[in-house]
Amino acid sequence: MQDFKYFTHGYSSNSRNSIYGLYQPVLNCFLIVFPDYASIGPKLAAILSSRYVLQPIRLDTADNYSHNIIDNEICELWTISNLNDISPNDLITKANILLADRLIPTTPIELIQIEKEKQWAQFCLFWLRFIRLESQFNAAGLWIDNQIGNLDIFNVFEPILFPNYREFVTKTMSLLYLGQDLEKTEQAILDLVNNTDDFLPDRFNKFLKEYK
Amino acid sequence: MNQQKILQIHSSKLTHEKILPFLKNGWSQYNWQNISDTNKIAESTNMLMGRFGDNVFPFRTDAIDSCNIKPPAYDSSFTKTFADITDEQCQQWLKEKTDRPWLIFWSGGIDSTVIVASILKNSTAAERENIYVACNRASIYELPRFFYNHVQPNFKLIPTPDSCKQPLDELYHVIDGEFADQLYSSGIGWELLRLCPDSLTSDFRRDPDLLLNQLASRTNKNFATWYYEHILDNINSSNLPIETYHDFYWWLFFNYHYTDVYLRLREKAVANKYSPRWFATNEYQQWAMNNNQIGTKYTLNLGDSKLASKQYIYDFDHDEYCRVFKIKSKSRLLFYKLKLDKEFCTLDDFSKLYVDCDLERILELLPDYIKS
Repeated sequence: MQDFKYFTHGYSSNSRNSIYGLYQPVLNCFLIVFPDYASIGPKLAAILSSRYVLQPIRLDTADNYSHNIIDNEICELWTISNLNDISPNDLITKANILLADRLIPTTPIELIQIEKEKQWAQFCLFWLRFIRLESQFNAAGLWIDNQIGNLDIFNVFEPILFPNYREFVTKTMSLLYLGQDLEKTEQAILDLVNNTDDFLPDRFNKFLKEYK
Repeated sequence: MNQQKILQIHSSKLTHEKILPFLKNGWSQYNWQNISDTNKIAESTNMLMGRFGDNVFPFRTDAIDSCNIKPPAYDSSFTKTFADITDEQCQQWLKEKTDRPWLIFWSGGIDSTVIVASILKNSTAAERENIYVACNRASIYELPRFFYNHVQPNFKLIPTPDSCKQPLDELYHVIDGEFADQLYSSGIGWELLRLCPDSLTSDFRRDPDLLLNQLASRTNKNFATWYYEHILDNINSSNLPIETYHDFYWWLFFNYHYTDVYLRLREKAVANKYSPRWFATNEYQQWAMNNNQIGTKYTLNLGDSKLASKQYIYDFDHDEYCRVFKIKSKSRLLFYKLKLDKEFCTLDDFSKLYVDCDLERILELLPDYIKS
């Protein structure tokens, strides 16, 4: 797993940062862990919802949490003790963050190739982080962080300043949301990177190089 | 003016302080607190009017008789599969129901997706010219790949109407996924699956403790015992093979929740009198009565609820994610924006009466068999 191009361990070098995981109820395990939930987490869960529902869970509240026992290398081997607090039938409409009481070892139900799903989740996380970085750089791109989604209040600026970039974001999100094959989706997004704005390929290469 | 009649009383309202003094007293059959608490078993649904077996609660089955929603007599020799029934029904309806266009309410949930898959499997492009699909953004979020690969390219789409002045079924054959929950065990049993994976296949007569605990967790121990014994009496009188925890929960929905769903649908403005009910046919009900074994309707995996329906969709679109991960969601609530009214009762003209504004009329119509 560590050889995967987009792999990160999923914990922060700052031990005071909270750590979150996305838990899949059918598989009864975590598919990904990461620290930057506030900025990325809801978007990542929404992108992945085209495949399955996910419950966001704060992991560092578990009394036995340590990044030595759960990271993206082995997150599928863990579940939590307070599963009763999860209502899988509600996750499509609301997914409040659940605080883990205790991490419990589990053997995931191999209904699907979990390693591939973990890679897909990491791949999506990478692109969401890249888009967010670019959005922050392009100050007018604050709209991407707008959780309300459909507010058009920033559109008055976008078409003038970054019309191509905005299209890049929209198309990338669609590719991630509907994509199934990682290699094909990656190629389609890289094509967008190379054909959208002159600044994007360099930014992408720099971001990827520094990602891990 | 004809004398109106109460078809169904909302159980949670029976203990209302303005109603309770007028009800018969008694500990077992007329335990109004327990009867009211039946409402807590499955998200504010009425589960008091059984279609099958002895009537163990103090309500007559006027709604079942007047709405003609009795189940077919159990036939243990019935062998058709879910896929057989679905395909045959679709082919038959395509031949028969040609007087008006069809309007399929697609919520993106499993049940309405079975209908859309069946139409795509069994119809010609020319037949689909006369079929519309009503959906909204929530439907697409529920099953985006199915929408983009199958719904959008093949049907004319209209946004889901929240309400309309003219009932849509005067213009269309309005078809939705209602009554499919009643073929399966809906969501209640799946809570047990997480707590105790093997429990769904346990014999509820021989080993009822976990079942009683789950019922008690929604109310209290006294209620759990009272309810279990009443339902057991009803099940024993039905002569159907109902043996496991799964079967018990299925029975609640198949036998008791059915009437509530029927009356709820009558209250929706979109589809009243004429709409055919895809999953309410005798053949589907016969299938439901004959296929409670593990591996057909369910397995012990959370993702395998409504297994036969999901397998039907998978055989059509080969989407492994839908097959493995799609679980029952509250798509209907997102889709219809149903108002969950807290009426006291529904009358035989499907109007409702409310304690706060219709008390006098309610007391006048309260049936003698529950009035003190």
